[in-house]
Amino acid sequence: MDLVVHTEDLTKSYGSRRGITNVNLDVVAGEVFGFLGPNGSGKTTTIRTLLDLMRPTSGKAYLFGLDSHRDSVSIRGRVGNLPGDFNLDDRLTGEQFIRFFARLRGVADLSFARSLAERLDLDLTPPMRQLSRGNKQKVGLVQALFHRPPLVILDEPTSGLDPLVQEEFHAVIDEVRAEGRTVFFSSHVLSEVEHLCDRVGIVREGELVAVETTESLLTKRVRHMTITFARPVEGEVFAALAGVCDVRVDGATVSLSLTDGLDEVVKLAARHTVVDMDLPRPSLEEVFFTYYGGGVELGGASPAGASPAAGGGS
Amino acid sequence: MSGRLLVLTRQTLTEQKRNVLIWGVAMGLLGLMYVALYPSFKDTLNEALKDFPEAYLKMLGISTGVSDAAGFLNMEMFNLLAPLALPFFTILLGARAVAGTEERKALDLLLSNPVPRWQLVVSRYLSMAAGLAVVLLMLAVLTWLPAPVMGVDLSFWAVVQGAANIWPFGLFFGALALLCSSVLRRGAAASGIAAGVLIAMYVLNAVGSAVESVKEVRKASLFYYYGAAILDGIDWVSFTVILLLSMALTALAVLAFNRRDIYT
Repeated sequence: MDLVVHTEDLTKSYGSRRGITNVNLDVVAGEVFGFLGPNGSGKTTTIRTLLDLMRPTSGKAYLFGLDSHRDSVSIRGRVGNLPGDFNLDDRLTGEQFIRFFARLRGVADLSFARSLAERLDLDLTPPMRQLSRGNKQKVGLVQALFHRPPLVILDEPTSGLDPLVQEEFHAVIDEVRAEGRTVFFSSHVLSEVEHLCDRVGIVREGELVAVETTESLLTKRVRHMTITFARPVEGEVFAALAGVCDVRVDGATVSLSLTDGLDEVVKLAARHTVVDMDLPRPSLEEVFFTYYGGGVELGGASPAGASPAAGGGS
Repeated sequence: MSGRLLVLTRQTLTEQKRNVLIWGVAMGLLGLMYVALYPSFKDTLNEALKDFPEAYLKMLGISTGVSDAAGFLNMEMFNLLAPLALPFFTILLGARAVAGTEERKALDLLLSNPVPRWQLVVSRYLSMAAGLAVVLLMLAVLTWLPAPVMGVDLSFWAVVQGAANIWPFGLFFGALALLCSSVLRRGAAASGIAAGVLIAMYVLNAVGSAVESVKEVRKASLFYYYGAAILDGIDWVSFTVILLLSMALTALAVLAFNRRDIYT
């Protein structure tokens, strides 16, 4: 089993601020690994330490078996990276920008870059200052992928992309996997991770709290369901089903939580006249709350990993 | 030169093309104006200078008065305006080189490529050196241009030497800004420090020239070693030492940048 990424007690602290603590992470060659966590949990810090943009406070990281600091240049030659937050020179066009990076990497053939741009519906001719956030993100994706690196690292790759482009991006990632290359990406969008990833690492407050296959993450999670019937029904019959709990009846509306047995619930409900049925995807927040207990700062958490400079935490 | 270093340098040159053009044209037109105007007020000028206090003339580097166009250019342009203004061209480039790129959040992307950090710093220095050389060439050519037309006796070679003498001088302050830019994370702080050193050195030299009892302080100023190349030719020892100092500052910038985290 080839390890493309291997860290040993990787720790990065910014003074008194939280960074990452003792992260032990393995990413296997050929897999799509999702790095999940709320903002500020340390995803970006981990990625930036792997790429030697930051130096670990303690611990070690290896990519392709090479030392993340000592062999950084040769590592970066094999990695395509999309930072979570980046800007490009305003006056350059997408074309000029990709050409510049291609020259740095010694890539002469830009046909794959062009085909990627086309698939993502990106026009490479206007200068960067005229591009919307979504289009800038597309340029970022193209530069991370056009040289077909053995490892693709993407920090929140789909942020700012519209749904159609997201779908095309997912297809591109599937192709990267089919070619046996490795993808490591961070996200806080569970549906995306669920769709793309073979395995998922969950990071919370700078610690890697779980690494699971996507399959097990899916089966472990709790979903909430609301069914509205034409007439009030007995809630207890639902409570009796395996995998169902928290049944509440409010007039003709039954809401419940289930970890399993969706089929049974639907079949039981179908015996009555169903007016409406709602089964929202659980957000990542819910998965966190469900499996890792409360006390997770979500959403507005301070972005310790993303932008320590903003807080002057040098 | 390594392939990537060349690619980086060329890219930086492309990005600063407009700056080079603006500075070259602006400074060149000033020089052009001085030479074009010289015939019309050379007589009144020397009359006026007679009434100036001697200390002030020393400060301007013209205690012997202005006898020809080269002397006039030396007083107005090559001993005053150019060495004060042109370092700002390199200082701004140096400040932008690392910290400025970082502040614009463009450094992560750039260093995701297989580029060693030293190459980034050195390529910024090289493109600064090339950019300044072009600005100075434009300055020399534009300044000399009206001389044959207006019948001013001015040697092109003298003007070239006057301009070339600014090259290591400007690079020194640019490299100082580059060093600050590599240590600090704020472009404004980097340019502020380098500009502060430039002004302080100018003042030190001016005071040292005017006041006999503190003339030794001039030796701490780069202006003291700058000389008057348009009149006396380039002092190659100073030229080389100042150039080497700018390279040493760049080497320090590499060391500092290699050690630190990048915050984008």
